[in-house]
Amino acid sequence: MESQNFDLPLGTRLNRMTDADLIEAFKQGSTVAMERIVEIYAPSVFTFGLKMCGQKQDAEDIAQETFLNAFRYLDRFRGETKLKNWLFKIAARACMRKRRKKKCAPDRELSLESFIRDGEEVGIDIPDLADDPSDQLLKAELRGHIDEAIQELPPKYRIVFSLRDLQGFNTEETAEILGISIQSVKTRLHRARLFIREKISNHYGREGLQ
Amino acid sequence: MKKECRRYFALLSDYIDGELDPEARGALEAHLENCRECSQCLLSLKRSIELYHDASGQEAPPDVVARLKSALKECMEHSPE
Repeated sequence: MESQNFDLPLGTRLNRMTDADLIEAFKQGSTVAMERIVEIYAPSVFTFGLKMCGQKQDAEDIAQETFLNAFRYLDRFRGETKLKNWLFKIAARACMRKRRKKKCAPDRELSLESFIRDGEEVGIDIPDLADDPSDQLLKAELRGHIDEAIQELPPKYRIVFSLRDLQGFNTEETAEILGISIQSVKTRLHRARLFIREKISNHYGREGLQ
Repeated sequence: MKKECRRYFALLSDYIDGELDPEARGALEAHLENCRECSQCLLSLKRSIELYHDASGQEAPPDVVARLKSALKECMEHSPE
């Protein structure tokens, strides 16, 4: 799309503009509106790419591909879905393309059975750090371990986990973004959560922090 | 884990997310009252979810956003309509 050198009138309050306003302004040729859309959504798209690929450069490539494709086809956006959901649909495809290009290991299944610990469930103890500010250091360390665990999730579970539990999309939105059934979202999310729980528990058990 | 517990084990995330129908939710809650193992499993799953919610943020370094804006501007200015 060629720049029209149109921009928003002086005094326009960018932070009061809705997605629909920004899209309309972009369609009129406003680069300010384009930049505002990037400012709003780039952090979450970048974080999603980082969780999916584990590398900052890959996450930046995914964000660039996502916004480039989005702005190229934004004139076709009819608002049937939220702008954020539409962007994540594009971002999810970009992640899958990146993965294919890198010839990553094939996806694998996580069975529910593999998380059942006969008679040992009572021993799985995840400490409650939610209200204890003295545990900030512990939480920071934990963030590293959780990131490692997320990277160990097979991609088809990782992508559902990232959208549902890290980006906050609901089950229906996640199914729509990925083009899979609601039941598949639920199944993959539960197994991903059990996987992460096990990794956290292993970490605490090993470090003797229970 | 008992056979009955295995059935409920599969439903714990749906329960946490409030996505069980009232009948299934009632049956699970009745089971939890009498099953220490499943209650412990539910608690540890909830706590691990809280931990990573607490530890995760939406961050893009400022230089990434700046590079992104500049690359997009350039692409949009030079690509044919």
